[in-house]
Amino acid sequence: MAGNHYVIIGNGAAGNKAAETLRKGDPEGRITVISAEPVHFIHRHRLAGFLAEEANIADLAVHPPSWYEELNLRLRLNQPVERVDFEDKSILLAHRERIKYDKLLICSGAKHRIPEYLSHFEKLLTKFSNGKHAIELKSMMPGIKRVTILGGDAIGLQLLNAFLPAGKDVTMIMDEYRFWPLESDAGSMDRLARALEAKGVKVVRNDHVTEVEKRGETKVVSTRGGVKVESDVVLVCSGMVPCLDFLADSGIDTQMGVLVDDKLRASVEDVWAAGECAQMYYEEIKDYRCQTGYQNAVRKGEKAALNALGADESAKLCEPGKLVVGGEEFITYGWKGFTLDETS
Amino acid sequence: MTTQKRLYLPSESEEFKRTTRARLLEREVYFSTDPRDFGWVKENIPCQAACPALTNVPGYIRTIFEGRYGRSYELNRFANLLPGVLGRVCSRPCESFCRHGWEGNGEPVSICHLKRAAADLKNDGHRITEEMFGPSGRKVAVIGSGPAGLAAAHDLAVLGHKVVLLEALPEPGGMLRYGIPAFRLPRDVLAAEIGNVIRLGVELRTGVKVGLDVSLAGLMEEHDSVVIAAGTFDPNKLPVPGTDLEGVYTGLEFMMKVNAGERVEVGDVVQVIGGGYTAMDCARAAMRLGARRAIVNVLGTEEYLQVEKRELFEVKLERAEIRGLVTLSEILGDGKVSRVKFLRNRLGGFLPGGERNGVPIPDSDFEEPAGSVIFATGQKPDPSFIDVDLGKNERGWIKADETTHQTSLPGLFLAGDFMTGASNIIRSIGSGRRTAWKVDEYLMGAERKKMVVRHERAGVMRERSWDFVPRQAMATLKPTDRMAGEGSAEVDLGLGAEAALEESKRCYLCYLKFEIDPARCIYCRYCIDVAPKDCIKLARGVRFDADGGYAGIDETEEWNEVAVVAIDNKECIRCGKCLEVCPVKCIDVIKVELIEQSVNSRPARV
Repeated sequence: MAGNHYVIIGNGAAGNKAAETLRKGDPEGRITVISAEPVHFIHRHRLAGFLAEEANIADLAVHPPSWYEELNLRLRLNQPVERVDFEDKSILLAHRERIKYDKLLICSGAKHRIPEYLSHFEKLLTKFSNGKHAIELKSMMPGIKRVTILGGDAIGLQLLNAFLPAGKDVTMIMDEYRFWPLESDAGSMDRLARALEAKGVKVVRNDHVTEVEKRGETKVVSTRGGVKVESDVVLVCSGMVPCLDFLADSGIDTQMGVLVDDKLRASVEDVWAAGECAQMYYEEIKDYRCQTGYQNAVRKGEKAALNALGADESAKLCEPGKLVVGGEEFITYGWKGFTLDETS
Repeated sequence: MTTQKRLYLPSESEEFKRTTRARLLEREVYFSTDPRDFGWVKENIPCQAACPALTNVPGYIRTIFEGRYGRSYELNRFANLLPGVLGRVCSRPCESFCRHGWEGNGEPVSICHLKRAAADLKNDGHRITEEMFGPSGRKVAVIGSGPAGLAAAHDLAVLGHKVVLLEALPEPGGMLRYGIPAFRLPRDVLAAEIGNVIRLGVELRTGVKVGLDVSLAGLMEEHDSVVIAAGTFDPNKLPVPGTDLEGVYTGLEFMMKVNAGERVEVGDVVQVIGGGYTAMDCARAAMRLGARRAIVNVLGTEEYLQVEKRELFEVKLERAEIRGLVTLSEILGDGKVSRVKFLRNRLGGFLPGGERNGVPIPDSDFEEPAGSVIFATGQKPDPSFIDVDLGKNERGWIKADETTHQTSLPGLFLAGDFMTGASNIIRSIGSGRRTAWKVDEYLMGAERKKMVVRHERAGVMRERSWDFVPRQAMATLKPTDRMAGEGSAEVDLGLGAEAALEESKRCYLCYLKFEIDPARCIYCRYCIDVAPKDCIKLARGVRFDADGGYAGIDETEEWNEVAVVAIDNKECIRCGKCLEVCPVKCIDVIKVELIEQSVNSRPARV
């Protein structure tokens, strides 16, 4: 195995666990970790806590910089991948540098989803999926009185832990059919809406956004049903989408994420994918998932690395987590779960 | 493949006198039927080669840059007849081949949007140009007034024949009128361009069903020739249980109802099966009819759908959804559809059209609600009206010769989708025109039109900075306004004059041939030093295909083997930097255009 060059695209939970596992299994191999982010890997699931003053920025770092040196990992921060040439087994970075690999692990994670119907208003929307977003939103917090959350996802619910105790006036305009990544149907969406209302959140249901406008410092959200909501901040919380732009037209099979088999092998030889960017069919739920959450990323990152080292291990669906709102419990695959009931 | 090593030809030699350069030394314009020149066009003007109607794309884009919108419209109309229509709904095979979209060059030029810009921006009083032949005394019936029928009728009328155009439906246009929704193709645009065909003396008879109101055998007796361009009006349904339930439609049936102005009751959730343009139209129309959800279900994944990415975006902008990796297995309901059952798929191999197949995963079934189900799974020709004995092909369709388009019955020709199966509008137009030329040859006993390659001296017509002009976005109607009223307001608003000018700058003008004259070249290689691409090469010679077409440059790095410094026009982005630095001005620029010409007459359609 000596002499192999393992390249990991992504410096998140899956990528880091994969790197650690590869180093353990191949002490001599070259390992390069490429990250589009300019900063080190942080705990994304703690960002809402950071906003709620439960954690400071230093708590968010997962590994100190020395961790990469100790494991003899070549870390390339702020190096977006432009594309992958699978025939040539090489990666082209945005600054035109080409990196050859022997084995490639795609752990590029996910970013906030902007639904197409909101894309025209994107400049007026606040996102929350990385440390930069968290710092920006935190700096705005003192001036925020009214918050509107569009869509519906567990990150948005986590943010309620920061907004509600701080006395912010929160309106949620919920998507009609999905609440990412909760297992939702019409009944559970109703229950969730009622539970949120019981906590003081104004919930708009069975409606959708048609316009977001800026009037002075205020943003006005209009819906098809004639609702108008004035806000200081309009947050888009419509789930996450895998970061796969660099794989467009590359020949690897993708749908929402990189399509992998139960060994996390992609459709191209010597390529594995793990974490939020890997899409796998799970017999248990008769459906595909790009599973999210820290636990999922760590487990899949490890499995992918072991298989890249020659093992033949199958990945499994992570145990469902539990989200508790107003005494109601909701199932979430991939997330460990959290409760909103301890905060307000 | 052969290599022509000696590129320097003495000016007194016969070989030199036959070259384009020698002929252009004598005059400004030169016409050629040399296979090498057709080969050059095919290799070097990829957009035009990709267009089934061989539209002169660089020519019409350049005239937009010059502000000559009417001329641009005519350059389009010469080849594709319906520029205003195609500028909205063409499947634009040209853009996939545009050199500007090649790796490292950025995004392809918005060729289709520019076509529409020419149509939108031309003067209200624009005069169309037709070079009519004298009356032939021959009479031809064309069955079907869709794109192929219109194209056949147009060219036959231009060639001097009396044309009767028969249409079974109340209005002409075929799939253009009844298959495509008004929000993508406004009816006034369609009517105006159909009018340009009809007023050439074509006798349009609508509401005439061949096989019912008149017989094909009767038409054959009354006319010197008959062209069947009846399209594909026999829709496919998948062999799954439940297709006879109320609320289950074919895409064609559904769109015909919508396009006839019917407010179809679609229910809350519309499940569309299939992933082509019809499927997208059905989903968008369903959202306008008040569906809460319209889900386009496809076997493979979105990435491989043969639908333009921008169209997919518009579908989702209107809140319709695209779901990949599913196979419909059953439609459920009690008299009326209420639910559908699917299986999840694994991604399978490539299908002939470029899409990916889906392979159902055993025991992966799931159910979903459905107020209606629409099968947008393609159509095929319906030959049920044919009452004469004709040869069939292996698919059971009426057989026609691929070159002459003639059936086993002399004088009876096929055109468009009725001959090939469902394709697209531009392919149908190309087919209709080719059929008309063959009918003319059959009727007149000789070819009266031909394609030639026109060469004209030119200069550098671009600036290097234009290579960095971004692709101009098409402005669109706000989603809320799209759904207002009947939902028929046009979504795409067109490029304005300013955006059209910027977009026109992006075209590399691949019809410009840059050529180094080896007799004057001093091998200084300055041109190589300034070239922004690897487009100028040291070469032993130039390779030609067996048919005489240009096949590439035989490169060498050995200085003592260099016979010529050659410009690879496939790589060249026509920036003109080489001309600027050439100390001996040995680089010629020649405009090369594929044009139609009347046989034995002066050049036409230049």
